[in-house]
Amino acid sequence: MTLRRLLPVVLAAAILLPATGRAQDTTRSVRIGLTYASGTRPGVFVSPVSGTHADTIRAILSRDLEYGDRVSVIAPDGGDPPAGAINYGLFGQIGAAALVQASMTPAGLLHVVLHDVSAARVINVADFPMPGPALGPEWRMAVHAASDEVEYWITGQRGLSATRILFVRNQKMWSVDYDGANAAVVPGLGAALSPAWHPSGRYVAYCEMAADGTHIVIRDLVAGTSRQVARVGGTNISPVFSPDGKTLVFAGGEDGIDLFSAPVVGNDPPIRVTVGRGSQNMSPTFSPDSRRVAFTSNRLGHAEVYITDVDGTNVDLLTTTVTERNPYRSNPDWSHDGRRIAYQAQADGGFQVMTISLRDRLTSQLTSDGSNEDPSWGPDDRHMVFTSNRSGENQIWVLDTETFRSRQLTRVGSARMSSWSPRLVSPKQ
Amino acid sequence: MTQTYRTVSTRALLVASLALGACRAKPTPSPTPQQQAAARAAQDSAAAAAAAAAAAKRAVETPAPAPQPTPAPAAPAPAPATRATATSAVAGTGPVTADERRAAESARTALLERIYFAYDADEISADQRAVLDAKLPILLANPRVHIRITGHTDERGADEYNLALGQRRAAGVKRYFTARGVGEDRIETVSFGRERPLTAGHDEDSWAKNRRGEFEIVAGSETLRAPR
Repeated sequence: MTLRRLLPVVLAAAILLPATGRAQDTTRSVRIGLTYASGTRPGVFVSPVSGTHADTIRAILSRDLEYGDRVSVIAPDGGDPPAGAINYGLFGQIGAAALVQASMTPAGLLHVVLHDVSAARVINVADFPMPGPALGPEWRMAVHAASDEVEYWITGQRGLSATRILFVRNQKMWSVDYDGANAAVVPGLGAALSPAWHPSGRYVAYCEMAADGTHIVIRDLVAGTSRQVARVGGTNISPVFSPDGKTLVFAGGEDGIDLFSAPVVGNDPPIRVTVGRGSQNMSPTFSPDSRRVAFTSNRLGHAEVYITDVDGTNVDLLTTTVTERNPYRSNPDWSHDGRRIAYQAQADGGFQVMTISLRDRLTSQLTSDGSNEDPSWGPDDRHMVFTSNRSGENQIWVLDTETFRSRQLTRVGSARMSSWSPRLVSPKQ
Repeated sequence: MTQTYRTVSTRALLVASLALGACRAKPTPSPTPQQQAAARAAQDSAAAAAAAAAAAKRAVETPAPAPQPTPAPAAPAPAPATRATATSAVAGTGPVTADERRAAESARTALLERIYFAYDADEISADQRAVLDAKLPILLANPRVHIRITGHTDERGADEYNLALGQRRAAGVKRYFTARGVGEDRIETVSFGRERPLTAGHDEDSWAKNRRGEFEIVAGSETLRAPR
């Protein structure tokens, strides 16, 4: 959050870096000048692109920067790729602080140049590999990765467009790019609930419903293979991977539902984490250091969010019941920076998405339109996906928790149980 | 649902009374335990007849249609008490005579009858306890029969919370049986939360129908016979 307040400073620093420097090496220690008024979003002109599939590339770059909610995109329709010297003064007059130029090289690389308009010079250049057939899912993901890098050059914060969201529609697991493209059923699975990404982005754990009950399954999305996790008696639901990728925690049991942990590799039997004495304990989410778990429990008679060490010690009630205004809180999701936990609280017969600060336990309500539930943080800890019925039926929506801008991600059928992936393309080295 | 259930029960009572002639469905001061059991079985078989049609062909993948409030026509005639007592079937062997087969079908129907729960609760209400009490003698008389209890919830509340709640409902029913002498290893419990609703409506009546426990015979079905 502090970083966000310093955005203009960081931004100026990023823009003013020498063209030869790698932004990620130096940005955080540099504080130079001020180019933009505090609280405003710098204008970024996305120039017409030259080369094959130019319009598509420009559209994706523009939309990614727009969806990042950190810059204001200027991308007039049409126009020709700029030739010759850049008229920085002109770009300054139309409100652009930065200019993005992209082109496809003959070798098939996406060549991206970032200009600082006020300094009137190029500050970053990079070539991005474009795998797979043009316009295919991997190709699109590569353009997203370029967008995320550009956003990092401009703001010091990496974008989150090279990501996908898993969700459930009619008990099938679906995958969709963060911008709504490439929506498709994840093939080869049974009836699926509660998908959860492994931090590698390669595996997903989910709850599979069979005639004889629910199982936890780990799916390798690359190899297309599945492995059933050793189950406990009764129900087995709501799996989650630890951020270090080594541990799986899920909820299971017969007489009561407790949290269990199991190593991701190997077949060691699950170890019980919570002692719920017949109550329901489920929907776990890990702290960034993989040592603590927030979860939903109704051990005091109604659902609240608790935190425990993953070894079962130090259980603590997180969401307090000071008032009976919201007598049901569940589905926590711990932000990757560890500072906030998003959850859902009952209100007016439906739910609203809330966050609670781990520092002072102050809560804030993020939604109010319709019933909104099951938040999942994006990798920037600023955006989240959640389920909302505001369009008339349950669909997945994306929310910017800073500006409260929201957009609808899914539109057909009825969608829920969304989970935002980690970044699926590693940043350029 | 309470309303619907009462309707069904009343009709069941009627059918049972007709079927048994002089013997009333409600226990009278005089009948023998055998007669009582037969009456109960008959009553429950008829009570469950409505739901049975749906329950018997309950599809795994698609939600079953709502139970029709009209009782199934030609409810199976329950075995007269005298005949039931005369049956020499040994536990573990299936029904032999036509009467025994009919009685076994009634027992099966009673065993499969659903029970219903209050909102966000796993307690078994008094009227639903009567439904379980009708299953108890059947379970005790058929030690080879294994059942699966599935817990379901209405659509309100969080998905995962509902999966857990459905499990608690199923487990509560299992406890009810095991506390009364049914072997623990004969009953498995699963939950489908809100994932397999009986009816798709978004009103209190639909929710009440969907907050339910269902019963399935997973082993020993062919040996099932009516309790003596």
